[in-house]
Amino acid sequence: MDRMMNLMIRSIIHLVIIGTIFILGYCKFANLRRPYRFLTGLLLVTFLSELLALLLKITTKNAAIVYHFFVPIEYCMLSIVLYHLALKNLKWSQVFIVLSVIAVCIFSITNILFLQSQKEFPIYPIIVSSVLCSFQGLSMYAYMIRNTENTPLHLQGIFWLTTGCFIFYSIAFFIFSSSEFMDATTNLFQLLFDILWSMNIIMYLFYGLSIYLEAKANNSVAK
Amino acid sequence: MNNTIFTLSGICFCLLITGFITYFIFFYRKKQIQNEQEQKRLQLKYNQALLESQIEIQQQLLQQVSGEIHDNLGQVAALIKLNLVTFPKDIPQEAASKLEQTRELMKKLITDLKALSISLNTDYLEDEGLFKILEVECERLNRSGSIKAIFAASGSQPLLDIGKEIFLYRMVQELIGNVLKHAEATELILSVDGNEKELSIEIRDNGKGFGLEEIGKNGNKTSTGLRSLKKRCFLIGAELNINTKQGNGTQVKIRLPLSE
Repeated sequence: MDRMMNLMIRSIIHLVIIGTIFILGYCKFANLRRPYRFLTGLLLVTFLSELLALLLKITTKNAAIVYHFFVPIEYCMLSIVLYHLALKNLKWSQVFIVLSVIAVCIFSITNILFLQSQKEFPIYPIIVSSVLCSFQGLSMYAYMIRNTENTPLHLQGIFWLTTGCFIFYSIAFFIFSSSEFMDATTNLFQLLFDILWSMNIIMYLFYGLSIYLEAKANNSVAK
Repeated sequence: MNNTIFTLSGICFCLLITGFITYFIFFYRKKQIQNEQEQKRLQLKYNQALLESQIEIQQQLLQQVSGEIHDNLGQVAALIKLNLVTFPKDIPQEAASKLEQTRELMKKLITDLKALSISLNTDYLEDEGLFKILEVECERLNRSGSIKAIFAASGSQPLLDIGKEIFLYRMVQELIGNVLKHAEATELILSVDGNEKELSIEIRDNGKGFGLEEIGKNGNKTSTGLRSLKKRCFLIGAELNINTKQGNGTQVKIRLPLSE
């Protein structure tokens, strides 16, 4: 019962943070460039899926089905964000993104049909999309190095977005791939998932910061 | 055992990510500094090119004016002088005296026109060098009677790029112009000193001087002129030092290192 309560509290905190950042994006929507508008859209989708997951946890005690759909959608939307933000300037990116999105979608379908049932948490698609997202994060860093701006790094929305994405997805990759070989009842397993939850929160906070900095920068340009 | 391996590999993984991001931040900063330096270099190059083209246009104009003075005004003046010389001698005493005065004035006019033509024309600078043309400039000032100009040269004239010589010559002319216009000075000393390592030009006057701080505050013509001089010095790699005090005259020194 305590564990369930704990999960509920976490989900609510998660929802509040994502909701707040979405509201921030929504309020600043007019000042945002296209990729950040997509990011706001991604936050809305995340918020809705987390809300649905919470409701399912309360009613059916299992919300894994939501993540079977959410993982490919999230990957697809994040790829669009990163593509429009910078990756479109890299020659290979369009083909890579299209192929990777198709691959993640097909793999998610295969996973739900043959590997993990709808009641199991979709670890394999998460591992695959985490590797791809981490790779996109690295490509974003490479793009930033090639196109250095005069603005200090900590005032650039793109830096926080990339860093949030890179840190979370590389850690998610590590934790989910390790979890396959670990005993789920150990404290370490629990600790790893606590870390993952915290990193997820940090990622959304970084997304919020990037939206705020982007809106601020565009506002000052407009003035 | 398994847990220890996971913990250690987890710590290593986190350290790797942190290290990567830290390295990225430092590398990015390094690139930013490089870019800033490159932008500054390009800006400087652009300013230099802009100023050079401005000077070139000015040079062409001055050459043209100089040519007009020498070829037209000078010739007309010479013709007038010739007419005055060949004027009939059997004229009244009063008219003869006036005629003599006119001849003298015409002689002075021709000399002044010649000096002005030289001052505007940089061909002379190319032929004679900076030291000589500055000496001629002082002679011209003395002849004009507006100020007592003393020229002092020491050392030897270093070999300079003609572009830099024109820059320096025009700057000295502007500084002399400033002394004549604003300083209310009676004496001006123009000293030049050159060796293999550097060239320095100093212009000192005994005028009323000025407060440098006050000029900095006002966006007046003098401060614009000084800024322009400083900019020009910067573009040719020279230093401009101004030493002045209200009522104590002004000393302006241009130092051009010749290390390259």
